[in-house]
This record gives sequence, C-alpha cells and structure tokens, in this order.
Amino acid sequence: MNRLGRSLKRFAMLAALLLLATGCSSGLADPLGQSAKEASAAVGSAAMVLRLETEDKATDALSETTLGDMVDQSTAAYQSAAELTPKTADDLALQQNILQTLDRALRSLHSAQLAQASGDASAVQAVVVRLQAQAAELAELGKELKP
Amino acid sequence: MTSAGKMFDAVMHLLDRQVLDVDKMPVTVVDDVELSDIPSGRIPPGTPAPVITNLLAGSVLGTRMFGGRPPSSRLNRIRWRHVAELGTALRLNIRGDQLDVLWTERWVRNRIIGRIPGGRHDPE
Amino acid sequence: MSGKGSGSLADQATGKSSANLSILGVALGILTAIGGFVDIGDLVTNAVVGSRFGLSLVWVTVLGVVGICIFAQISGRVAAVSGRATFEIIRERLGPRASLLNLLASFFINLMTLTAEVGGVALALQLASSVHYLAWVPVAGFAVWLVVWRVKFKILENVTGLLGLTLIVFAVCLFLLNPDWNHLFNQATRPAVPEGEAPATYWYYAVALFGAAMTPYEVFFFSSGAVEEKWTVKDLSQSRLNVLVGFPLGGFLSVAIAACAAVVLLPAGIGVTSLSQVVLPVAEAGGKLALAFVIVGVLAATFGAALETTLSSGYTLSQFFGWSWGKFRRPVRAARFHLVMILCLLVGMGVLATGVDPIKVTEYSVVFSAVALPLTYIPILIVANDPDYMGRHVNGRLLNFTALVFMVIILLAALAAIPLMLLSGAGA
Repeated sequence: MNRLGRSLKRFAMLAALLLLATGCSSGLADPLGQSAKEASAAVGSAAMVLRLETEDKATDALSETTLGDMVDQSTAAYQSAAELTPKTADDLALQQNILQTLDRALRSLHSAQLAQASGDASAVQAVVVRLQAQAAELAELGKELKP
Repeated sequence: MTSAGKMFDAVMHLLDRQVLDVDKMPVTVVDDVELSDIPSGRIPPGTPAPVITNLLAGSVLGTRMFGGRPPSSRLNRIRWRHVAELGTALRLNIRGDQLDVLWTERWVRNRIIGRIPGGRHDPE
Repeated sequence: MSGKGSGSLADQATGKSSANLSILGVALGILTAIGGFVDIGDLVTNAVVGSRFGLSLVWVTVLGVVGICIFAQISGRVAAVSGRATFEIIRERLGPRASLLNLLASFFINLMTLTAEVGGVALALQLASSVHYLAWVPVAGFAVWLVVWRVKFKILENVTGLLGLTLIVFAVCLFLLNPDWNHLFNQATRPAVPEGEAPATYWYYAVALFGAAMTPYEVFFFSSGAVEEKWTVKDLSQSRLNVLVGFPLGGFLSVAIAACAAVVLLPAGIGVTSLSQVVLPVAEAGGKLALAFVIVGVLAATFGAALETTLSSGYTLSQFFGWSWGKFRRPVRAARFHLVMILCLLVGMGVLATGVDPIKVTEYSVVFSAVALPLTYIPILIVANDPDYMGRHVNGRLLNFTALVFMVIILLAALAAIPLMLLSGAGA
C-alpha cells in the first residue's frame, strides 16, 4: 500500500475517534462496534493464516478456505452495518466511517486471495502487513464503540 | 386376570409395552387394549368380568391420546390368546410377519428398502 | 460422541460375554471412548469459548463430563439389564402423550445435530481439499448412509473412534505452543467474565458447553448400542471402565481445544466463527503435519457423530412406535428404521443446501440440546430405580444422590438456556 493510502487511513482513523467522542451515546455505536469487532477477527485470521503459509506451516487448502470464510464473515459484518438506519447526523457520519473502513478491509481480503492464489511470496508478505494493520485498526474501533 | 395368580395392572404393565414375536422381532407397542363386551346399564350380579380380547396398535394411538373412537373395522388387532409371556416386553407365540399390524413395515420393505442394492444382505 | 458400544473390541478379544477383560480389549475400549467423545458441537463450542473466554469456562466442561459419566453409565446398565433401550422406556413410563412431546423435541434436536455433523464432515473435507463445502454435502450424506446401510456396528464405531483419537494433536500442540501455564491455570481456577464480554454471554456459553458435553443423542446411542451389541450384566464392568476412563480423557481433549484457542486466538482478538479458525492454532504450533492429523481427527469425529445421530434418529422413532430396529438386522428386517434414517439424512442435506452456516447450526444445536436434557435424563433416572426392570441392579444410594444433584443442574441449565440466548443475542 502506498504512502498516500496510509496517511488517508490514519486520517480516517482520527476522524472516527473524534466522532466517537461525540457519538458514543448514540444507538448505533453498539452494533457498529460489533461489526468492527467481527471484521477485525476476520482480517486477523486472514493475516494469521497467510503468515503461517509463508512460514510453510499452513497448506494451500487451509489458506484458501480460511480466506474464503473470512471474506464471507467480513461481508456479513459490512451488510449488518449498512442495514442500520442512523437517526442523527453524527450517527450517519459514524456509520459512513465504519463502512469505509470495512470496505477497505474487504478489498484487502480480496487482494489477499489474489496474492495467495498467485503464490507470489512478496505479494503475500505485503498483504499480511496490511491485514495486520487493518485488524488492529478495526479492533481499536470496535473497542471504542463497544467497550 | 393372570394365570399365575400374580397381580398385574393393565395400564402399568401392558399399555405402551413393546410386543415381540416368537423370534424376538419387534412387532409394535401396545397402543390400546380391547375388552370383551361390557353390558350397558345396570350390571346384574354374577356377570363375568370383562376380559382382554385383543391388543390394539396403529391409528388407535391417536384416539387414545385425543379422544374419540376409530371404526372397529379399522383397528389393527393382535389376539390375546397369541400372547405367550408378559415381562418387560410382551412375547407372542406366533410370527409377526402375518399380522395386519405390520402392513406398513411390509410395504416399506417391498416397495423401498428391499429394492435398494444390499438391502437384503447382512452388514459387513 | 461415543464410547457407547466400546465394549465391542473387548468382546472380540475375549469372546462374547466373557467377564475376563484382556488388557488389549480394555485399552481399545477406552481409546474408542476418548476418540468418540468429541463431535462438531464440542469442537466448535470449545474453540469459540477458548477464543473468547480463555479457560474461564473449564469448570463447565468438568461438570459436563461428570454428568455424562453418571448418566451414560446408568443408561448402559438399564439397557444391559432390561434389554430395553431408552425410548422404549420413555414411552412406557411417560405414556403416549408426554412421550410423544418428548419424542418430537428429542427428534427435532437430534435432526439439528445430525445436520450440524454432516455439515462438519463437509467443512472438514473443504479444509483438506479447498473445494467448497456445499459440494461435499451430498458426498458426506451419501457416505454416511452407505456406512449405516452396509457396515457392521462394531466396525463403524471402532474405526471412527480410533481415528478420532488423532485429535490428541490439540493436546500435543498446546505443549508445543509453550504457553504461560500459570496464566492458564489461573484462568481455569479463578473463573471470571473477561473484559469486553457481558455476563449474559458468559453464562450463555456455559449452558452451550454443558449441552455440548451432555448431548442427549449420546444416551440414545449408548443404550441402543448396548442392545445392538447384546450387552449383558457381565459386560457392565467393561462399559463402566470405558465410560469412567474414556469420557474424562475425552473431556481433557475438549479442554485442550479450548486452551489452544485461548493461547493463540484470544490474544489476537479472534473470536472463532468458522472451522478453519479452529485449526489455526494447530497449524501455528505444529505446522502441516499437525494440520494433517487434526483434519483427519475432525473428519473422523464429525463422521462418527453423523453416524451416531443418524442411527439415533432411527432408534428414537422406531422405539417409540415399537418398530423393528437395529443394525444387527438386515435392512429389510428393519425397513421403517432404515427409511427414517434415509429421510433424516435427506432433510439434513436439504437444510445444508440452503446455504445456512453449519457452524451456526452447531451452536444452536448444543443450546437446544441443553434445553432438552431433562427430557432424556429424568425417565432414565426413574427407570434405573424401578426393580421391575432392574431387579437387584437398581441404583445405589450414593449414585442416586449424585444423579439427583445433577438433575438440579440439568434443570437449571435447561430453564436458563432460552432466556440467556435472548439476553445475549445468541452469544453475539
């Protein structure tokens, strides 16, 4: 991932935390936090299995299956976040923010699938780093929203 | 009611008991029993007590649970004289194959299970 | 989950109904009991609990193992002494109305467990092959049917039990992971609700874990298996040994599954939602070789349990209606029994074909099992005290006392299950 992407992400993260400060009491914090936690677990698992594969500890079949499962789980988390109806402007902004984060996570998972299928070790390593960062980011969001 | 003179309770020791045929093949569960005719109205003294004439099985279970009475022609009967032994199960002195009660078993065997390859062999 | 007919290999070794127990026979009986203890419900529930609550729910597994030891032993004795299997007895004791309700509930939950197990087989095959599990569902269902149709009871039970023993790799991996044993020990001995989890969720999973350890189909299977293998009073000491040694060791496997998840997944914030995550700690600790073992183990455990639940569906219905049943008969001599099993497998496969997540089915099946526990265990306890059936083999006082204490726990778990499910949003 390029530097611009990373700084964008950091900015989004800051914005989300700011929104949290204002919107913590809102009704959406809890379910959105749940979605973030679920996605964090999915992204973290994907990172773990790919790392195991680079260490020659996981089989192709296991990585492929795990990645598929984790895409499903993140998609489900995205959908349940998207189905929520915000009542206030703060809620709306918070929801948008989470959805964007989840969307980025999903895209990373898809590129993880591509990298895994191509067997390109350096691509896999790069995506592992990205997934680990995103898992941590989502975990933090989840903890803030749903302590 | 018993030849050996031991007391037994039809509800406790008969209803819902497993019936096995002479080869120990399960036949059915006793869903109900049929008694000899009880005269209606005042019962004159000296009338013999009603005795169990048949064990019943099949659709009679529904009426025993929810009330009502199926037509007598629809009852699946096992004659009381075919009962050889009362224990934790009832033993008959005949083979179950001929009994009307087992028509569903025969139907399923002939139409479905018997037609699947291997159905007539012992497991390996 | 079995251990049921595990007297069987001993029978082969020592000759039918011989009271002499050869060491080999005893060992094999116990080994199959261990391998057969774990099914998809235990695998998933223990991994989920380990990944979210660490070892803070180990006490429930211990409780469940003690409970299943007590009641499996009682139901085996009832079957051996009276020659009557569980559902025949339930019908006799409860009468048609109450026993029909019992049958409907037990049958439904068993069907749900059957669906989960077949789904587990398909998921394990996906882990091995990366072919999507939905493509494996028909294969798994057909294989289960074929074995139920053609293979002898002893063989099906012992082969899956022994192969299931490869799940010991979880225990091996726990050592390879070199965890902070003090920390694990503290989690287990000083249970507390972890930060970030609601108490309702903690107790919901406590009930689920209890249901997974004590699944009622084990009892149907155990008692029917005793009749299948024509146990007599002489076989009781072997069966007692299998249960009392095999099941606790099986429970130890369950704890190892939870501990692996607690060591690898909990710190990473990964709550388990799929079978692929259950095996991640094993790959982490032992690499591809351990992975191969664990996949064989999961496959054997779920396949064995799929066989047991399929047979249980036939057992319960046939015993209620007094139909001819049993694998010791040719299929044509137990036609309705075999038809029921075929239909149940088809229903299970149909449910899976809708794309419903097998792991979710598993989670619900263990909770509903907890709800249904009293339906199975109360009649067994009553009959075990009835001299008409048991003669001088009725329960002793100490056993009755412990069984009654457990009945209270079972009732509490059953009553609490649904409210906890609603309160915790099914463990979300």
